[in-house]
Amino acid sequence: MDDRLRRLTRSGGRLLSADALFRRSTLVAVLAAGALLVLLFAVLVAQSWPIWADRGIVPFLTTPTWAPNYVDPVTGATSVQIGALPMIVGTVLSSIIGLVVAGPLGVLVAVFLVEYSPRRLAIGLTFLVELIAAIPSVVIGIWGLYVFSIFSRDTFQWWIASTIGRVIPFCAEDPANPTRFSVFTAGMVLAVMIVPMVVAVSREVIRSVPLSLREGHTGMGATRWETIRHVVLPTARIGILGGVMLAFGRALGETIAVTMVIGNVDQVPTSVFQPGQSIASKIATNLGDVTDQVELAGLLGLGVVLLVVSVGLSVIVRLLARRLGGAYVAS
Amino acid sequence: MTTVTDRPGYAAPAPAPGTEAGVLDLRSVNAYYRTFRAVRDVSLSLRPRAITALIGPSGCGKSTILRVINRMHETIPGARVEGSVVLDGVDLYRRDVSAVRVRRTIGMVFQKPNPFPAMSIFENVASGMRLAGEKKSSVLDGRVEASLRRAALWDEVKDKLRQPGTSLSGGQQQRLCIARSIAVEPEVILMDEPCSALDPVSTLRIEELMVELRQDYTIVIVTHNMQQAGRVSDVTAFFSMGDDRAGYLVESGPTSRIFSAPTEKLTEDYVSGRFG
Amino acid sequence: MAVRTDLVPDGAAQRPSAADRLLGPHRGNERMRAVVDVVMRLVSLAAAIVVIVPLVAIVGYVLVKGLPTLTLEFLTHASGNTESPGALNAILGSLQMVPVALLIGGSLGLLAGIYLAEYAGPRMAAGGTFLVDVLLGVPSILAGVLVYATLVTYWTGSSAIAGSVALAVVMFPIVIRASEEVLRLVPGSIREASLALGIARWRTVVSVVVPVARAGLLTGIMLAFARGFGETAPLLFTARGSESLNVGDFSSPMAALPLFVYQNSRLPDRTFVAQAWSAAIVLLAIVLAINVIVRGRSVGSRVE
Repeated sequence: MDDRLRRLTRSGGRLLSADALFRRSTLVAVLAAGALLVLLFAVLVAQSWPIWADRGIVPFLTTPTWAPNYVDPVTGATSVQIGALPMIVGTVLSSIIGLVVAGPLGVLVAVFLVEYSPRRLAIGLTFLVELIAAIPSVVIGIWGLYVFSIFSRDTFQWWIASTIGRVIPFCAEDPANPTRFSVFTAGMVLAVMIVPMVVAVSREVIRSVPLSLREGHTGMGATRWETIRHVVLPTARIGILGGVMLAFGRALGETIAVTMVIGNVDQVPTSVFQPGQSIASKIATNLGDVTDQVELAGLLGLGVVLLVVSVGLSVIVRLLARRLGGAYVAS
Repeated sequence: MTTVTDRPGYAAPAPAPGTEAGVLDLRSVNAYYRTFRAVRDVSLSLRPRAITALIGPSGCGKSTILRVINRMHETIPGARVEGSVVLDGVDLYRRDVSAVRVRRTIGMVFQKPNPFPAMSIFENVASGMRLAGEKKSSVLDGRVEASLRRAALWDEVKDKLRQPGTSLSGGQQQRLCIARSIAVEPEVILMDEPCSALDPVSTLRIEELMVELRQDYTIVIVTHNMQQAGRVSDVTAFFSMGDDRAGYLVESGPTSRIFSAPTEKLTEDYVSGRFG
Repeated sequence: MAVRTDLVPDGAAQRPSAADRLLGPHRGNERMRAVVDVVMRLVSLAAAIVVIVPLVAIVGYVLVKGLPTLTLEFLTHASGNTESPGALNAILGSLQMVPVALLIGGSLGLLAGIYLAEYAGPRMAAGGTFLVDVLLGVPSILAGVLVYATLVTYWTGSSAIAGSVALAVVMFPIVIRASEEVLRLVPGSIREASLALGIARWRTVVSVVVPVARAGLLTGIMLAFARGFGETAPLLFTARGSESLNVGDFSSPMAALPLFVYQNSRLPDRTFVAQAWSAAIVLLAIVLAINVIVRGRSVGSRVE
């Protein structure tokens, strides 16, 4: 009996029962989600193929200029110099700045919400932190563009540049940057945007540390903070790390707010206070009106980089979660 | 340890006349969770270097009393205590006595073994000393070994001190927790049903350990298991729950007397297994 | 094996008395520890305050800068109106594209959520959950890039439908996640009761399980709507924006509120920038209102 016939008899002679039909349509929706991811990869890779094939993966990732019609200043010869390095550096650097600020801050807030705050205050604060996550990024962007960037230049930038900036050139002010837009500004705006994520995940994992562990430590004469520092946070560290990675992924892909404050200059910054460009901001500002086919392939190639990094981060977080599950079974 | 500052006006108090040094005295203790009174008017004097068992049906406030003794009760939001608990002539609830000091002097072992999962076996035992600022590894090594020996665990773990404490079996974990609490040299050790999560063999080892530790420490144990109270304790205090659901002390005395000739009918019913 | 007596913790005789330990002079780092405890409590409180400051600053500045130009004309004129330009085309654009996107992404997401919660075996469910995790982690601009590189380039050109599809791509995994989680919370006994009455599996899901979970499903769908309403990046090269009023023509470019804010904010003219702030008020009001309504009821349960 062939497969088709068997299926027919099993479903009572009808081709598909209502049950099977419904079940299949839901399955199709799941498969659509899988197809979406495959399609994303396939389309981006296929359309950026000239970049990978003609220029090569390593040259594309390491070339520090983005110039479809590059004119050599010495020889006057023209060539295609399309490289992702400025955008990769701008993306990673701004995201790291965001994380350095939002990571510790978010964990501290989570500690406050779970360990110190009275219940009512915790409810109010949690609600407000969730609202921050709900603000559309273009609204944060316009605030960054016209308000925060000025504040940041006159405070944070000035403090950092006039202290550690004197020692480390990477944190020194750039006299050639007449604007208030920089990789640093983008990083600070990202910090605002990702802090709710760090808080939300840290709050959950801190809360899941068993009371018996806290009491065991408090019961031997530890202060509240010592118990947090030596027992709660170490026990929750893998989960917190997972949350920080998720937040990092969010920062890497954030587009509009970064586009509005990073300065949009395709250069590898030599100071955090220089304008730069992120992968997402480059795509956002250029993809709509690009005509050069090589440049178009380059922009889609940037998309591939962004996709690979964000999917990679999801995989890492997944592996961390698995380890976390194991740790909890053991305790 | 070095003395940094002397407390102004401090003079070691002379024990009140008629009381033996090191006695732990509960005087009219009432314990509340918000408006609910969990423990009503308990007065009890606990002999030093002896094992006192607190027995009684569940919900009679035994564990709450234990937590009142080392001021763990107050860590629960809305919980408060009336009356006083006096150790060696000092009221533990005096304003100038810190809860941190009370808990260092009165250690606690919990119902469920709770080694810190992010710490090794060594670090679990050393954690209390580290809190007190002990940094010398020679001192830590010696005290960790001594405490583990004292808890009859050394021979089983001496080759894997760097492994996580959670890798041990349940009984070993509980002995690790005992080693952890004696590492800071408490005066009193409180044990809240320390064997309820353990198998009979592990239970026996913990009981032997308690009898052994009695030479140096005052031990208070909460137990549901009357045989256990009979086997290990010198003194037994029987609690029951009143009509207002508050726990109160029915009677206390030498364990042998409580089990053979209790004065209260309620006690007799309980120890003979007629209720509870 | 002989016990090394020098290692045994001090016997009772050698210990300082309990009274000494409770009341005696401060030893070692004790005072420092108490200070650190208080300081860290204050530091974590300060962190909580610092995190809230941007929220207040953003809402405050948007109101201050946008209210003066938030006039009736602003809300009733299209941005192409040369006399007094407004944002009506953007508002109507969002109100058209986002519902269509929700129709596509939401219904697919709900179906996929039903499969993962009701039909999938443990391995398939784990795989599906991971797939959703990955999709949720994909930056929204890539949804725009995908639609641009396929639909826009080869078929529709810049159009509202392309914008809706790009937003649907963003909403799709959000709705899957929300509906999957909510449906899993429905007790198995309810399904069994229905199946035991001889009601078919699909009828059970559609008329018993989904209605039980409807409040949670609605929450997820509302949040997906709010998220889509605030997204700019997927629309940049798909819907693109338009100066004129576009009602119902999904094959042409269409404006949207976030696009309006973005595009106007970068124009050199002060009046356009002021309009960007005014549009930000409208956008923020709609998105935050949905979030406040939806989250306000449930926040208590998430704090304990």
